[in-house]
Amino acid sequence: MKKFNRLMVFFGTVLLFCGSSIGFVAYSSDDPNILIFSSTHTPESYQKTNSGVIKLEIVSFEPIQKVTVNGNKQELPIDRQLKFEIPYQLSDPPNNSTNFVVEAATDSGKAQKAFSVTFGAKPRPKKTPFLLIGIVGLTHNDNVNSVSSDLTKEAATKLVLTVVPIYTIPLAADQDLVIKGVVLREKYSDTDYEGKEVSYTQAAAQWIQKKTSFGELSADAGINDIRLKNANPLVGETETSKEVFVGGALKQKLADKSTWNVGLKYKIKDTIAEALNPNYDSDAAELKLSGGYTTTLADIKTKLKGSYTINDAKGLYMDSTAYSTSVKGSQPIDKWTPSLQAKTTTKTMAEADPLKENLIPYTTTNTLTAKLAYKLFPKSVIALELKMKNATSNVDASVFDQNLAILSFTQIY
Amino acid sequence: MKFNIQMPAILLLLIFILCSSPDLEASTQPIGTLQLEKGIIRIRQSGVDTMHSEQGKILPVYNGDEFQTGLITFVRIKLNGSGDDIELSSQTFFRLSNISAEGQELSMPVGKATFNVKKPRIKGRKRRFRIKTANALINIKGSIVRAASLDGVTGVFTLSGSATLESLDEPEVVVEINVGQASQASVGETPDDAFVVPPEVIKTIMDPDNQDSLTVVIFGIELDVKIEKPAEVLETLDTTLDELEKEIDDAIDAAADAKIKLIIKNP
Repeated sequence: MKKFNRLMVFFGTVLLFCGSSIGFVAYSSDDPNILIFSSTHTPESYQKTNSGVIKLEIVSFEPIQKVTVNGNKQELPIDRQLKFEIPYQLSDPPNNSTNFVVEAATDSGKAQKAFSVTFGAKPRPKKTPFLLIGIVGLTHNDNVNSVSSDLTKEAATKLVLTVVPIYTIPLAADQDLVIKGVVLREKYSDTDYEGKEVSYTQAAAQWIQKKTSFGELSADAGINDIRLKNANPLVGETETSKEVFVGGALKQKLADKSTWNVGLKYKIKDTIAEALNPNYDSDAAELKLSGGYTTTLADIKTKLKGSYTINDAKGLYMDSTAYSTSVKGSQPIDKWTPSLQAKTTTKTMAEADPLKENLIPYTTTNTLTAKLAYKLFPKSVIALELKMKNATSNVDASVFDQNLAILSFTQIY
Repeated sequence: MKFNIQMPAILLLLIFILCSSPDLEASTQPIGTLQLEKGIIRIRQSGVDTMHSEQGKILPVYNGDEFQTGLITFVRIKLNGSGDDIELSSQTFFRLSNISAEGQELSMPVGKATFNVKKPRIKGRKRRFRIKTANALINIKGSIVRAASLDGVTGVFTLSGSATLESLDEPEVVVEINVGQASQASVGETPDDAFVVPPEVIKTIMDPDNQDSLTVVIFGIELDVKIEKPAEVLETLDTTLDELEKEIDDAIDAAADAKIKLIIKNP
């Protein structure tokens, strides 16, 4: 009797497994051999118009006997490959989403897939709104006083700390308000050069409209505070200049992934030091037109930049115009990014200056920069930069050669 | 009477021309072979469906053939002439749309496959190897490429050589994908910029039996987070540093100006 009972349990268990197995094969709730897909919609789609057509395809190992969409039977031939489409109309928010639950059944199984379509913009992926960039740089300058070669050059080393906090507030799907700051502090190893230490602080707001028919539009406004002599590491001791600026820019992506941009910036500069002679008053309004073009030439990312600046100062001898052009090529190779940049800037004063032999002073500065950056971690970059600067001018005191070596470490938080 | 004699002659001539037409000849000639390495496959040839599950079975394939693979299936298609090799993974629907000496036009509305394209040129003539998915067009140039397509998302990973990806909706933006890089395009959007794929993700992408990676396309929902974040951060970093470089240059120029002004005040 006991043996009989054991046998019954054994056969019962086997039957249970067989039964469930047979049941699975005979009528799977999700047959892997029925593929339902759409060429027009992802499982979660967003669209700007309130109507459309969802194109659907079903392929199966066995003839598809029945297709329903949201429970409604579709009049389709019995075949292993089916193509059909369903036109739809969407409502305004809040009921702006419609689901399409497509179900296909064959003699041995069925499969189901849901597509959700929403009238409206796709929610943007959550990004960290706060970004903090820190750059620590060690700069060796072989001609810290920018003197001409016939005078004795003095070399100096300084530590430069730059902190850039950026906070992005999304205003709409393609619109952001960016609040940012730039804090730059220099510290020379030799206290003799304390007076040359720059303390630069910027607070700015930028409005960005990402997708317009012209490309990306932005407008910004902010203030700059420039001081010298960083005896106190937080802020420079000698107040030098305050600036207020507004600007706008347009950036456009072209078909071949190259981009071009153009920007205009208007700046009012208030120099703290008052000139004894009003003709040398450097308070000014500055207008800067800049443009750039980025493309890839023979696998080298190439950036061409240019700018034209008009400085309209209160003092007669402080008016000037400047133009600048630069070309930069860089090519990332694994984690390394070597780059080379050539830049030339020419600044011409508007009037002949009696303090400078009655000449109309001009200075042309040519800079050649070679940089090698290495991505230590996804958010960390270490770089070595060699910069050669050569300034020529019709004023002897403005002629100089300068070589800089900069080792920097950048970290993004 | 003359008419009656001419008619059969014209008909015969027409039949002869049609039969000797290279297109007709091409459609009746096998263009390669298919080998079922494991699993099950449905083949539709000239509207007729056949199922095959014999491991190692080799079958001829023709222009216009359609294939649907089952679960845990691996199929290899070798194309004559070019020597190109296609490996179909599980749950894939694939079509040999137009195979000719000028190039290969394939279609993969859903599924995953690896394409080993031998040479972009044969006898000095440039040829194309294109795969049309539900929403994108992949162009392969003498390389090994893994591609996946599902629900309006197409992913491409280049194992050797290079490939390009463009959206069918916005074909003006073409993204080049070089060795070790990947990109994906969604319906109505231009493809993402190509990004370097970490080695641990490459293993998942190349696994033909990985059902998860099929469900979520090759850079699935979870992998998406892992891959896209660093790329996004690096892009942000590059752009921000570039803008910052300009700001710092401006700051240094402003500071230099300020120094000159101080000198003027205190000569």
